[in-house]
Amino acid sequence: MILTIPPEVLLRLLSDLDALTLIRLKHVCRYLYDIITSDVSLIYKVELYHVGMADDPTVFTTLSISERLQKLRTFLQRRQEVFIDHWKEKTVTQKASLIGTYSSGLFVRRVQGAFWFMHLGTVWNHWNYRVSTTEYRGFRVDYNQNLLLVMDFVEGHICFRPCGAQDGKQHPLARVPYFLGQGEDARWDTVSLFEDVIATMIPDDQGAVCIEILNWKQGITVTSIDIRDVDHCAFTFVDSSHLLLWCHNEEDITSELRVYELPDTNAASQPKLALILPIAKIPGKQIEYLGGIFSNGYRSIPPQHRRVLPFRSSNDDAVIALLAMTPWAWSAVLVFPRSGILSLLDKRTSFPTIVEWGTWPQWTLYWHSDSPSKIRAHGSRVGINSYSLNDISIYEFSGRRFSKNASPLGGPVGFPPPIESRVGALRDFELDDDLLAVDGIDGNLTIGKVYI
Amino acid sequence: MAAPATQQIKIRCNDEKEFTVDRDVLERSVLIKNMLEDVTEQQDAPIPLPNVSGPVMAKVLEYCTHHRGEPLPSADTEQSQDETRKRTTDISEWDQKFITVDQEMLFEIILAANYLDIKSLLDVGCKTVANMIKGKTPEEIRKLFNIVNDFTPEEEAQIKKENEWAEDR
Repeated sequence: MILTIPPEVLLRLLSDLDALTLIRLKHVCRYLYDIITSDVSLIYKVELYHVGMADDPTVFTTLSISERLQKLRTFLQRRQEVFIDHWKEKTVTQKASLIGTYSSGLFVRRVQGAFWFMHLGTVWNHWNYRVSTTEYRGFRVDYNQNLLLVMDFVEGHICFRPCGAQDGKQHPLARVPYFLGQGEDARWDTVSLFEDVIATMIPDDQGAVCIEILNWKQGITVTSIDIRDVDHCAFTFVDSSHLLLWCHNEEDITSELRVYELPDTNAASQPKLALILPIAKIPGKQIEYLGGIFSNGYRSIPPQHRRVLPFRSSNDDAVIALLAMTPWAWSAVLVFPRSGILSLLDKRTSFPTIVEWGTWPQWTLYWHSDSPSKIRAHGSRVGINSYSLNDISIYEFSGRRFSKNASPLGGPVGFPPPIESRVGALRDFELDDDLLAVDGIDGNLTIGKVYI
Repeated sequence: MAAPATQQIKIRCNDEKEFTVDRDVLERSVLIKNMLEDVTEQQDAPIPLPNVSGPVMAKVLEYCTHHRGEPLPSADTEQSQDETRKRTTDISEWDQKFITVDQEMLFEIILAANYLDIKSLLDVGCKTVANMIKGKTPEEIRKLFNIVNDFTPEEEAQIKKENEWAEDR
């Protein structure tokens, strides 16, 4: 009987169903399989389930469902490429000072004045690239374009150079330095890259934050955004013309989400603030969710429908730090620095949830080149790492032993929380205070340590 | 314009069954509403509805009579309609009782609501079927709707492999 109703009515009926039911319906018979796998919004719903996001993000009018699906598939593919389900251990024997790490195991070392970028991960195995710079300031990797951007300080300007891919050949643009910001204080730890555009944060003399957006292929500054009254800011490109910002104010502990529409490269106009929306407020012991991203765009929630998320009362003030964000979902942690309590605030469905993770020794917030902000407990023996919304973990080290505690909400939405809490032991080296860098994606863990 | 509330309209179903109904009740159906607007002069001949049978029409009329006078969903943009649908995910108590019928009648009502273009009734029907499906295994769904599994064993294995991750975690 259900098979006799016209396809357009059947599609309407199917659109009321959740992803898991749709997946089950695909098993039932050929006709249902064909109809579910022929409708782009149903396909999207099912594939979104893969990455653990339940939203149907009709968020940005510039992107159609099929474009979103395309984005999602690129994201999935990239995740699959870097997935490896066992611990990996490698030792760098060369005497060197380790100066930085990046996700999936990229290390930077300084050896006799030159900089070596070395990949210990699985995909870019044995990637070993030497770069001579005058004054090294940082780097950024675009895995899609096999591009390494090295930030340099030349004649009072920060510039970056695109460097070669892992096949050993130089990138065609490698010899052209592009000038970005000015001044010694330019902050390179927050950089976002999307295809041709790169955004970077630079604080000015008055302490205001400025985000510069540059088209690196053309070597020109597209625009800049001034942000005031904000203590922390994280951002990500939604597409090449939309920048999504999470702004956090420490004084009254509020955060808000902003979307900027960026002007065309050729038009010398200002970025348009498309939306400004408060998302969280903590009057003492709870968070009130004031608005956010819903299936039909950014909206504030009318007072009668707002939800209050209580958390364990604590006598010290919470700090919110954002761990991972996509255009339509985010995950943040509430850190109580004095009592050591850590709670996870997670928004991957329509409304955020809050779950207490545990109590660890005192936490500090520090800025990291990889994710908008990272958190580490004092003494560097415990740290959080987030590669994606589905993979947020706390790593703990003691002697030769290490353990990975997956977040209680870290898995895909709709599944029971991962029970994964792995413990391992390292054969060759002692984990002590010299431990400098830890990076892990899914099952892949890279640990860096300095030998003296 | 004089209020047409008392005007009686005759309709004839595909089994020759005829109904005489108040015009505002029938106008819950966008199809009939448009038909009536196209006809200017008074007609005595009943409106033929070749896609609906008498018992189903009686049920549809019961729904239309109960909901008479309620504002019709406006023909706004797709998005605002979506919003309206999302806000009313729950079926009202009366509608729930009304739609508690056997499966054959349920699908007949859905087909009639689609043909007659009665959006709210179509929604009630679709949501009811969706609720029947939710949480069931493929085998239970086949049993429920009397569907034959027409996959070859190879195809079934392939689909199972595709979806393994969803069920196993």
